[in-house]
Amino acid sequence: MKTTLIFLFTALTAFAQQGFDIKSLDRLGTNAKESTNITLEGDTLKLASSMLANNKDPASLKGMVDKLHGIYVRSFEFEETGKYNQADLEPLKTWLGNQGWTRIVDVKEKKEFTQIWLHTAEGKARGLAVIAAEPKQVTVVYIDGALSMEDIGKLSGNFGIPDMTFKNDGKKLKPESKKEE
Amino acid sequence: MNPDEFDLEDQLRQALQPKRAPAGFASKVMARTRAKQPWHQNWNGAITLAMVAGLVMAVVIPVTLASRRQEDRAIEARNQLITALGITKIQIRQVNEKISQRIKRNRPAL
Amino acid sequence: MHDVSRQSFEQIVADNQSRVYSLALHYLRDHPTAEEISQDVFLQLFRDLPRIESSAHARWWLRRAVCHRCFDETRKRKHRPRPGLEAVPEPAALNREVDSFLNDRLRRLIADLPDHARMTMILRYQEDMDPAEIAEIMKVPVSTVKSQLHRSLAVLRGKLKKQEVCR
Repeated sequence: MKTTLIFLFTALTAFAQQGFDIKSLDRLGTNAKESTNITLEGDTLKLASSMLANNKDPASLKGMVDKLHGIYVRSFEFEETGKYNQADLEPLKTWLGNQGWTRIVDVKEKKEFTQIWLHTAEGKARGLAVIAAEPKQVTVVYIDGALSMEDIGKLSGNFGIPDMTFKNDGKKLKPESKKEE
Repeated sequence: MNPDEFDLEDQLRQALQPKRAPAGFASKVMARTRAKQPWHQNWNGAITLAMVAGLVMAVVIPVTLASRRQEDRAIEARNQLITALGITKIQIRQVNEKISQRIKRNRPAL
Repeated sequence: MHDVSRQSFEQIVADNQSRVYSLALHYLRDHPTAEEISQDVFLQLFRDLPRIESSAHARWWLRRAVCHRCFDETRKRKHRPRPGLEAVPEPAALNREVDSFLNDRLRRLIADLPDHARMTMILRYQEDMDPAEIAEIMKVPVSTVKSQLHRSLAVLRGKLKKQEVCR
């Protein structure tokens, strides 16, 4: 994992960023059994941050969230394969490539792939995108804002961020633990 | 004085002419009505009460409701944030595992 | 005068305060008590305002109320020693009003009449009420009022003759 994190920070390319219409991804979930659509930006993101433990330590979860401009998640789970078109992810990938984002991870296995994109400016991470496409599930995470190595460590580690899984009986995606740092 | 020499009834009317009420009599009565008046019969009190009630309705209740709505919104936003970060964490962890497995698979046997 | 406003009540007080006060004063010949009773009567009227239909009704109501309050006060006085009427300063003197000696004499003689006869005389000559109205207010037959008036006038005439009041 450390290798991955170091690798994330070696990609340094700065390009002017223009907005991507995250809503254009909603068509992916037309046939979804379960959907998670999260758009947190501006005041809503500040509001969410205000509810986190008020730890002034910049390494805290709140310290990380306060530096972000927006967090967008689209995650869809399907009953069977072939219920979404992976081609619908192409506009996002093209946009990221055009905006100077760097694809730092690209893992392909049979009919699935996972890509991690990083946007950097002046030697610092300014955004992170994850695109994970499996036969019965597709997930896109787009984080806009400054991220440190520690922040990315939090995103993959145990800084009080709960594991998110689809429960077998549940209809909604629920955190297994809401415990915060 | 012989009553036969004057009209007794006229003299009685004169003797029993109404006396002027003491100074401030009416003011005292009005003051006592205000003091004795129950709040719902006291016009001034009722108006004041209505104004206070109106103020409560117009300011306090909306502020409380707005505050509660804001709190609900904040809790909802926090839950969404935790969910978003949780999904991100899972995706990064999964890709890490995939990379680790590939490295293991590709590592030459010693 | 249903739902009489406060302004209307103030007007009722202004119009009737002297009448009510004088009824009590002539009957009791006691300034402080007359004022206290009069104020109580107005307060009582204030509580009864929703039932008052007109200014005439208010006047009638006040006369009746002060009349019965005076009777109550007399009953109370009989159970507690108070200065005799002769010892009570003359209201006119207290009011610093010029009053004739005859009028003073008449008021004293009226004060000596029995309670109901006294009130009958006051209502008749202060308020200029006819016997039927007095009977209604005092809740007695008209014939009783008439005979009381007749007897009272005779008593007054007799006493005035006997005393031969001089100026």
